[in-house]
Amino acid sequence: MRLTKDLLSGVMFLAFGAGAAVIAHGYNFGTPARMGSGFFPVVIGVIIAIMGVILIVRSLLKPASDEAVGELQFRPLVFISAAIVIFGVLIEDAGLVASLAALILVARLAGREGSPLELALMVVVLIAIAVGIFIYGLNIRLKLGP
Amino acid sequence: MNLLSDLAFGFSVAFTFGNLAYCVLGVFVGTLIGVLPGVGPLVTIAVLLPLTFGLPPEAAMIMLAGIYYGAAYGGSTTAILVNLPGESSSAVTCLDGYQMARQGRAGPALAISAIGSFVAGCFGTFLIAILAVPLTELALRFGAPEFCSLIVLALIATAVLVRGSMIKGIAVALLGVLFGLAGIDVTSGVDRFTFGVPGLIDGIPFVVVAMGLFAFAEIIRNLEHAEHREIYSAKITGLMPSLRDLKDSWAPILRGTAVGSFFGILPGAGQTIASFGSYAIEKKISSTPERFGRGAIEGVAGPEAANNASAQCAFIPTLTLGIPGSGTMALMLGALMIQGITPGPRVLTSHPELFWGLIASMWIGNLLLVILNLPLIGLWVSMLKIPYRWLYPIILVFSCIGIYTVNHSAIDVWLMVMFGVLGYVFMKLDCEPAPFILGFLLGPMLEINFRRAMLLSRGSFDIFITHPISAGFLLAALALIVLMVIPTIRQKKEEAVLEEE
Repeated sequence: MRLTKDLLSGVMFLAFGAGAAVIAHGYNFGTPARMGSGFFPVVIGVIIAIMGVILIVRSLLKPASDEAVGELQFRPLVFISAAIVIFGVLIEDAGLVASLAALILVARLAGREGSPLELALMVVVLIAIAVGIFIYGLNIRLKLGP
Repeated sequence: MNLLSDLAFGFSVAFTFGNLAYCVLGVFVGTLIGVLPGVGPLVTIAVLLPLTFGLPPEAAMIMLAGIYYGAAYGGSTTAILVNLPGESSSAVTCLDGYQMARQGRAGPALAISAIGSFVAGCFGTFLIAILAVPLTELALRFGAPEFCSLIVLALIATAVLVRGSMIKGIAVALLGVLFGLAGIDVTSGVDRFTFGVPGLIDGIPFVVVAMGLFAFAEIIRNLEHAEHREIYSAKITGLMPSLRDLKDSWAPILRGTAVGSFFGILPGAGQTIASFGSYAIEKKISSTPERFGRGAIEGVAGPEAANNASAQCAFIPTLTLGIPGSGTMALMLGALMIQGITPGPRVLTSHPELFWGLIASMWIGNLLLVILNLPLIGLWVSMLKIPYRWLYPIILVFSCIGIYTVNHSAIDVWLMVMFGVLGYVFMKLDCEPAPFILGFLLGPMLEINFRRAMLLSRGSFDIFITHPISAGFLLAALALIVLMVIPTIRQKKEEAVLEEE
C-alpha cells in the first residue's frame, strides 16, 4: 500500500478524533439542554474522526488522486527538536548562558554549512544580544549561570 | 460628526511619544524581518509576541500592527528583488515585479508598491473608522446563537479557502478547537485533556501553539531545502517612478484598493485571494494583456494595493466582532487576550484608547512605511544577503526565551516542540496550519456560546435557524462549502492560493 498524503492525514484525524472522543467520554456528557463538560469535545472528536474516515475511504477508492508523501529528511527535524528540548532541560538549573550555547550548538547540527569560527562567533554574539534584550532591556528575571 | 472626534482622539493616543516610538519600532523591525528570506509575517509576529507582554495594551497592539504591515511590505520587497515572496499574498507581485527588477526597474517597482500600499492603507484605515461603530452596535445585539454561527462561519471560511482540500481544512480547524479546550472547563470546573500535566490546567498557552506551528515548522522546512537565490541588487538606480508609471498605476491602485477592502472584510478570504483577484482584473481589462508577466507596472500596483487594503480591513472583523479572519489576525487577537482584554464588540467602548489609537497608528504606520522604506532600500537589500544558517539560530533563541518567559516553565518549551512536530506533519501531509490556530483561539468561545444557545432553546438545535442573523451566517457557511464542491470554482481557488515554494 502506498503511504499517501490523504491516507495518512485521514489516519491522523481519525486517531486524534477518536482518541479525544474516547477520553472525553469519561467526562460528564449531560443532555443537549444541560451539557456536561464531555458533550462538546465528544461531538467535535466524532466529527474529526468522520472526516478522517472520509479521507481514508476517498484515498482508497481513488488512489490516483492522492500524492505520495515527499522525501523525508530527519536531520533538521531531529536536531532542531533536540536543541529546544535541551534548552528546556538546562534553562532552570544551568541558566541562560549555558542553555543558549547548547541550543545554538545542537541546532547547528541540523544544517551543514559554516565554519567552526563562525559558529563560535554566533554563540557569543547571540548570547550577548539575548542578555542585552531580555535581561537589561525588558527586565525579565532570568538566571545567567547555574 | 462623531467619526472625526473619534479619529482625533485616536491620533492623540497614537501621537504620544511612547506609542509613536513603538509604531516606528514595529514598522522598522517588521520590515527588517519581513525582508529576511524564509521569515514570513506569521513567524515574525509569533516570535516577537513575548517581547510585547510587558507593554501597555495600546503600545503592544500598535507595535504588533506595525510589525504586521511592515512584514507584509518586506515580503513585497523580496518578491520584487529576489523573486521570493515573503508570504503567499506577495506571490503575485513576483510575476511582474521581479521582471521589472530584471529590466533594471526595481526602483520604480518598489516605489509603486509603496505608494499603492499607502493609498490602500489610507482607505483601509478610513473604512475601519466608518464601519467600526455600526458593526459593533450590530454585534452587541448578537446573542449566543449568533456568535456561535458566526464562529462557525469564520472557521469554515478559513478552512475552505486555504490551500488544499476542504475536508483537511475543516478537520485541521476542528483539531484546533479540540486543543483549545484543554484545561479547566469554565462551566463545570472539570479539567479536560490535561493528562496530569500541571502546566496544562490553564490551557495550552497560545504563544506556544503559534510558535511551534509556524516558527518551528518553518525552520525545518527551510533547512530541508537548499538555499539558492539570485539578487538583482546592483541595478537599483532610479527610485522614482516616471510620470508615465504613475499614469499607468493610479487606476489599478484604486481598483486594487476596492478589491482588497472587499476581501479583507470577509473572514477567511484574505490577502492572497485579494491580490490574485486584482491581478486577474488588471490583466483582463488591460488593452495590452501580453505585457503582463513581462514587467507590467499595473501588475505590481494593483495587487500590492489590494494586498495592503485587505491586510488593513482584516482588522475590521477582528476588532469589532472579536472574530479573526486569518492566521495573522488570530495572532493579533491572541496578543489582545494575553493583555487581559476580552475581544469582541465591547472593546470599542471599554478600551476606546486602544481601539482608536490602533486605527490612527495604522495610518501613521503606512505613512512611515513610505518614509522609512524607500530611503532604506539599500539596507533591505543587504539584509537579503544574510544566509539562512545565521537566521534560524536567531529565531530559535528568541522563540525559546520568549516561550520560557511566558510562565517561566520548561514544560511550555517542550510543548512547543510537540506543536512544532505537529506543524511539520501538517506540512508533509499538505494540511495548512492557519485554520488550526483560528480554531484553537475560537474553540472555547464556540463551546461557551454553543452551550448557552442550547440552554436557551432547551436542547433544540432549531435555535440556530430560527434566529435570522444566525441562520444567515450558517447559510453563508453552507454556500461556501457548496461553492467549493463545484470543480471550476475549486480550480480557480487553487490557482489563487497557490503558494510558490
